[in-house]
Amino acid sequence: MEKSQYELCLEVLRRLDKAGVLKHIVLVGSWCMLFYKSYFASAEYAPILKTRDVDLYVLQPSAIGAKTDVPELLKDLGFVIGFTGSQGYIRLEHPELIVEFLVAEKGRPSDKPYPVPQLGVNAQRLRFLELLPATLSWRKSKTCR
Amino acid sequence: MRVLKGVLKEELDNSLRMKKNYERELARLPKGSLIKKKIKGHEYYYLVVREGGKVRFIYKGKVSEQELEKYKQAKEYRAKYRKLLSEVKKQIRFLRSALRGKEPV
Repeated sequence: MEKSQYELCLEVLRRLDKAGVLKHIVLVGSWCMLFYKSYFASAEYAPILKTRDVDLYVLQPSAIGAKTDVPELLKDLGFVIGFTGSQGYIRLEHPELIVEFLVAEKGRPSDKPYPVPQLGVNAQRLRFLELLPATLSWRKSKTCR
Repeated sequence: MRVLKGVLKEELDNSLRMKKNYERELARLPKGSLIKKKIKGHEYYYLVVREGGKVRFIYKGKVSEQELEKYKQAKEYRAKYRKLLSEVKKQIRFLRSALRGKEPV
């Protein structure tokens, strides 16, 4: 993995932390592996192959108090808004990283995006995502938790 | 092998989508950049634009701080987006050639 990609990911998390958003978000998917490295520091561990997508699970969108325009927050890093297909959920795209927002799908299945106006994005609904926080691991980075 | 190809294909689709998005953002930015000219002790602004291979200076006179900031930001974003767009184009070329092998993509 390129250093710039890792640094960019950290910068995104740092900015979300500074804006007070990170506490409402859990990093899920293949990018978790990167942070498991420090968790399994004593064991022989190599992160697996991963894509550019950084999946951010918004735990409880309604619990986010203050409004933060996340696309604007990351704009000067070179992220642009991308709407995915006919579903219209938002991805923040950069040649090194693609930031996606996920929410747990509850009730009747729907392929429509879930608007999270507190963050200025449309999140993707995923079934059974609410099971993940049961095994939540908190990692502390240089400048954010 | 199939898994790797799947990942590469997904990345290619992402890059193609990204290329479109950067081109869209570039098209949205205000065209040209503002320059300041000092004529007989007075400062005037001109908008410099390229039209059909020619450089045109459009008189703007005195402009507000807001407009100056708008063009300054646009200049910065244009440079940034162009750089990132060229990165995306490189990725597309690489992914296409990696996927192609001896088969048509």
